[in-house]
Amino acid sequence: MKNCKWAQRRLIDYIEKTMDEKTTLQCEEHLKACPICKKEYDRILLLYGILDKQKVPFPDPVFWDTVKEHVYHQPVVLKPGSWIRKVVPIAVPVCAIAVILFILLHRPNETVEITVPVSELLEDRDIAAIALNNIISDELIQEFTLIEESLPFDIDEFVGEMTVEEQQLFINLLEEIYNVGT
Amino acid sequence: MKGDIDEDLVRAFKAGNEHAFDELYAKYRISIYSICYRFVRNEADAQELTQDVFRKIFKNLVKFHEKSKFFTWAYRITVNTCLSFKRKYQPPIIEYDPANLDQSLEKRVMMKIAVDKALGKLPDRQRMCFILHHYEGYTFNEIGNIMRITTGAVKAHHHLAIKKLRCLLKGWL
Repeated sequence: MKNCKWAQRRLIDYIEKTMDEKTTLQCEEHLKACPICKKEYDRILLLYGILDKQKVPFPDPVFWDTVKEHVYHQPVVLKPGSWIRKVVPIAVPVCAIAVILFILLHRPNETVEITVPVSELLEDRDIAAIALNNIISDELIQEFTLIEESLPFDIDEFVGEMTVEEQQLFINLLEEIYNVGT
Repeated sequence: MKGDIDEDLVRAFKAGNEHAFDELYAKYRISIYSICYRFVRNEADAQELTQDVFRKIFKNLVKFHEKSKFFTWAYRITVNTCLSFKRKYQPPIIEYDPANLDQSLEKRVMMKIAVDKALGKLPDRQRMCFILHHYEGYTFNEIGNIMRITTGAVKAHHHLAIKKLRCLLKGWL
């Protein structure tokens, strides 16, 4: 016959009827002969009885309608695992970097405006060339240069000997002829 | 068979028949509420859990692939929802005047309190295995499928739960 340790280990299986026939018979034989294990068996049965007495208090019928209502009209909630929450932390910095790069690569050319009187421009051919670059054509500058070089006198000296009023008159004339502005 | 009717209802739901869900809801709401209540042992939390479970079932039913039976899948949702539940509600302290209660009623009230306390002291998985087997009548194999653990693990959880309850409730035995 099996001992108490063996039997008490199997009491729950015996009550649950999950043992094979041979082991069940061995258990029954021991319980008939051992009052200690029989008492333990009775206590477990009593425990089952106490646990079985605990009933579930079911809610009012209104509750079931409310649950159904909530189930059919559940709001869409972004859950932590949704794809939007995964994409946004990556998309935002990427977009920010793209915007910064766009601004850096497409900066408008800086233009510096120089307001220079035409009389000063005409004194210096290089400056005149830069300033007048967008106002008159290269051909016209070249033509003017040829004219200047063909003169029997130095145009710079000639202009320098003029009075201020004569210089201004000369400039006005040039402006009128060549549509040049300061 | 239970499984075949459920499969038909699931297919009908996927085909666009929302009334099919109503039938599944009516069929399983009591047992799911019962599991939730026995797990948390108070009505407020049980109601919240039940609503949560059915919300998840409704939302995911179109994705249910029918590799397992519907009730296995539904109870799995129930179990996982219960196991991840963070208790918000504290059950009220029951106050009563013993003079107004007869002895048998007082004894029943005290016993209920003791059983609730004892069940509350079980680890979550042990408690769930015990509830599914003892109260809902599922076999260890079925519980293993629901909880995605081995049958041996279910049996171990159940046996340990009985032993612990035996100790905690020895004053009543």
